Amino acid sequence: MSGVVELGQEPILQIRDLRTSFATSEGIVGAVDGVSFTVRRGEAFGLVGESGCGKSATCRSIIRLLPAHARTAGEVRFAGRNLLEASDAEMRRVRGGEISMIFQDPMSALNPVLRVGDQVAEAVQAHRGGSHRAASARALELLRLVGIPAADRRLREYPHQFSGGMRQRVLIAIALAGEPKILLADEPTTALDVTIQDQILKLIVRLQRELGMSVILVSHDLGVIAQVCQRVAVMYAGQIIEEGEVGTVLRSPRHPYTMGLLASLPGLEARQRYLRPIAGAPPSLLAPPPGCRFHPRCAYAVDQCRSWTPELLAVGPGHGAACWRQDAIRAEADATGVDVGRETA
Amino acid sequence: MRDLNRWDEGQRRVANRHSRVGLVSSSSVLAYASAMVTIEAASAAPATFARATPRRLRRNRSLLLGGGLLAIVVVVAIFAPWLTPYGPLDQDLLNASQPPSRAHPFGTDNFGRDVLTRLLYGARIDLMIGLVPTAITFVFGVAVGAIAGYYGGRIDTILMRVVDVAVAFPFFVLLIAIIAMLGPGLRNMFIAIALVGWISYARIVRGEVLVARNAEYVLAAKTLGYGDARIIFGHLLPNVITPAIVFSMSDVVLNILLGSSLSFLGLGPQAPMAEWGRMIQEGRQFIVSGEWWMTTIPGLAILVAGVAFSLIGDGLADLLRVEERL
Repeated sequence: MSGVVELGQEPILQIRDLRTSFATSEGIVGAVDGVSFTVRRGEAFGLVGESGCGKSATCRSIIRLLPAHARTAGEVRFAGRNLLEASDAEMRRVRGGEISMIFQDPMSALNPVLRVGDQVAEAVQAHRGGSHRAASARALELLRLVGIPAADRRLREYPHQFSGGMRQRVLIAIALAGEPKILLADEPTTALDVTIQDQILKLIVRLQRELGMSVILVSHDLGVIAQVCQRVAVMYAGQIIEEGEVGTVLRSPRHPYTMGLLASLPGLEARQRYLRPIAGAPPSLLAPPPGCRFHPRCAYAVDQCRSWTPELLAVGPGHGAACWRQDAIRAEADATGVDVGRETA
Repeated sequence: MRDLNRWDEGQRRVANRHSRVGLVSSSSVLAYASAMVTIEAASAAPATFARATPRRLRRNRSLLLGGGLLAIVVVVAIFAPWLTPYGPLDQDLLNASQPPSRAHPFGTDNFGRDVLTRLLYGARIDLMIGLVPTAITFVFGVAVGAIAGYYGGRIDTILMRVVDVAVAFPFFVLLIAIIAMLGPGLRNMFIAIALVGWISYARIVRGEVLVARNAEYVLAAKTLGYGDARIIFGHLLPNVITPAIVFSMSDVVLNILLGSSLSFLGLGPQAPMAEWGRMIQEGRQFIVSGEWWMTTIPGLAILVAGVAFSLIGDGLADLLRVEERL
């Protein structure tokens, strides 16, 4: 499926043709439609796209925490087995122990009536066993690791006594309790102030490096992805439409949607007075348009785009895009002498 | 909106339950009123025990007052033999139906038994009637409600249809029918109340869990690979238990009244056991002849116990409430 050349690093999570759909009263919504990507050991991988493009659904399909009316097909290969076929007991060991997740809203993801230290210690004990005393000691270490000042005192406090940024740190500590190999971060900074956001992202980067952990970062913010990730996949209407090294994708995007996303970012230059949005709205996933799903909004669309779905094809080393109009896009990039994208990082 | 609905639900439940109990004296009106206050206060819920700091405890007047009254009743029940020279069953027919005097501060009944003595010993039985069925129904009802609410679907449907059937029966008639089958007596009365009483708790807790199970911290607990039992009892229940705790305090009152009503009907503890409801029933025939102390004194005792638990419920609701949500 993925025609992207992979650099010589050991894959830890391979997703092949993942399809997740929700049965609703209006019909079946294909939230994730044939997504494939590979995450390597110790790498930070970004999933970017606008709301409803299926990035969170992809994330939750990996650890199989979807509502009961969801159906999942395909393959999520982790540690030699397909997680989509694993037993419930096995999945419980994977969750928190091998793959952990942190959430968008740190205000509500902590249990309001339990002490912070106990919540961390419980996660330690659930995955690593041992006495309560040992788990509490480990909880203290973890809280220090994620940079909570006066951790020994704050251990005994309740979530409402913590600020948003501190809560997100606690949630990261809880996620790390089982010493996972992969951390799924679903919009971890969206609910936070920009300054706090920066601290949390730096923390994630530091932990990823220190612990050799893989991170899958979901965000709608290209800036966030650029700060943390080595590779990125851009999602649109349930599919990956471009994938590659972060620098490559941001500097020379090869899919009109990615180009549009980059062009729509507000710049600091005074000459840009208006934002340049992508025309139109994302398609309904109940009845997605035939052919390329982006064609109704695409300036490059031709007849072929309206009837044939493009696959992700290599457009450069480690860089793939699902677009029929590569020739036109490349020609334009060559003609103007500058790439359509620009430095974000 | 949700709180309002829950308030209505609680109010209706107490009202229903109460109108079925309905046989007992004036104290029941008061119990009803304070039960309503209690439920209302409880519905503001999501609470944390963290807030139960000593300072807040000292400021909580209803809890202190209720706790004080209850402490008196408990002390009296424990030390009954040392507080009175008489035994609860000692008859003195020569001094039967005596009005309050120095020797018998609350008078004697038609067998010459000291009313004060019977009142003190009766506290033991009545506290038990209040607490034992409440404890059983609390544990069972909370567990059923939490499981039904958490799993939803078929489990929920089955459990809630059982609840509907039980609710559709007139409460008191159902109790009497069960006791009639088992035979009268204290133990069978407990069994009958337990069989019926858990329903209120199941409904309260189910409603709370239905809302709380969608909270992000539940999802977060799932992503940590926690099992269902750990999530339900370790993470969900501490968040939703407050209304059930507060309701249980008014339930204690209702159970004391219920016990009195049943023994009034001769279905509870049997003569000659000293029990307040029983005492009212036995003294009832002498009201017309002016021997008011045989009924009024145990009636007041029920009132005091009822007020004590109601105040505690009220105070707990206050104590466990989070003042402002962030």
